[in-house]
Amino acid sequence: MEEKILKIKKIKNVFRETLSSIIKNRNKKIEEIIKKQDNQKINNILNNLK
Amino acid sequence: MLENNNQQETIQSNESNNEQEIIKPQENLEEIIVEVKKEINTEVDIAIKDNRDISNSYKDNLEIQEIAENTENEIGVASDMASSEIEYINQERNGEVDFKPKESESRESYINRISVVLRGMNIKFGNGVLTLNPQFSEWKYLNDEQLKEIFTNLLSISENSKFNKENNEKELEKLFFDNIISKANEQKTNFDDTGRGRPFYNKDGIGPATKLIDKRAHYCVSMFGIPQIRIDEQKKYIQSIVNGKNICLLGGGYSCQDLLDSEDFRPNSITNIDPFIDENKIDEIKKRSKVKYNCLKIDASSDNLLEELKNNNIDSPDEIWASFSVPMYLDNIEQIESLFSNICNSLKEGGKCRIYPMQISKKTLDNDPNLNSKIKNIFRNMIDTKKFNIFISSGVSGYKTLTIEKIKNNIQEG
Repeated sequence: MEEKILKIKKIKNVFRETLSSIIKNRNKKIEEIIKKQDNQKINNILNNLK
Repeated sequence: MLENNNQQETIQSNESNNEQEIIKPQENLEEIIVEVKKEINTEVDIAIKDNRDISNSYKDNLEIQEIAENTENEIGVASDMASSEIEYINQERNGEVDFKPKESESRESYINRISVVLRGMNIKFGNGVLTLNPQFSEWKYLNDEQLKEIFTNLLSISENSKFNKENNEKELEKLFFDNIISKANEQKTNFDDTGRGRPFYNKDGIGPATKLIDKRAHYCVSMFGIPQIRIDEQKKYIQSIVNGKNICLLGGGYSCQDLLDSEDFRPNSITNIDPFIDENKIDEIKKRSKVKYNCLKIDASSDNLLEELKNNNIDSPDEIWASFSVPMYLDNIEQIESLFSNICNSLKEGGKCRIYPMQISKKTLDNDPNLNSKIKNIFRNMIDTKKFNIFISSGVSGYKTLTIEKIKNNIQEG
């Protein structure tokens, strides 16, 4: 019984790590998109100035 | 009895990373499970709320909205996997699980229980983090003999259930229509942009999912929990649901085309209730179909639906399937009420309606903060008639499937 309880508590910890990794991954992707879109805007402005 | 070959791998992976928590002697397994599930749900709620806030703050940025949508799906899948593994640990005895059906277990509840346990049994850890590839994975580790054992058990359960008050009350507690589809999807005004051609089944099986959410999830996996038909017993199970039956698709689009000329399955008729279907395509489908195919260009929540079915000599359906259609795209509680009234009134006794996923559009949910409690009332009234059983299964990709069974008159209360 104790072994099972330990396993279940471990699952909870692994779940927390997974959640945190999902969130980090999302934030990284959003940062990349924003950067890409900003660069695109700058390029568009520069092209219009030419 | 099936043995878990992955048990060692599953247990060891995170051992070194986490502090050992002290277990108080008075703690028992059931209490711990309830507590841990509660904690997981709370963390999921917080993460989803945070994710939705991000999605809302980038309203006009479809790329970011898509990322938020995928993230929400990943959160759902992770929580589903954690719950599955907890369930496996709860049910295993010395690494083995007893797959005999329990008393008063319906076919749907049996296959759902087994799927959840198998999913939990096969989860693998990678660097202390759950690997998010659970889609359809639960059966693939089983050999044909093990599959045969499970599906023979499944076929031994009666197709029709007795009214089960206790179980209905439990399911009613869980009944909740969520929305994890982002605005990116809701901005689609043309239904042809959405996945309207989902197949009924996949003859060749399913490889690793390339995306966590497969919007073309076929009906066999989303409605019945069977990703791949490998052995005769699985086919027999699907045949018992489909063969000789009148099937009604709600907002079916151009889906289930493979059922129209299948050598494996032969329904008596298929009726598609879909206001957005192209009439030219209906003629094409009818020409190809080896089963009686009807299409009514009417909304499934329409007040006239029953009359239209009667006027078009369409038999009461044995099976009603709604895949990514209704109530997902309905606008208000009146339409939702009308939809479920149509389902309950049209369904043949002993028939089943299956709805996947249990979702309603964000717009509709935002417009009515009490929508879910109103829907619960609809189901409360449905159950109180003692003519229906409801069942919510874990579905696929973190989306749930709802089954409504109209009980046969001659079957006594359980």
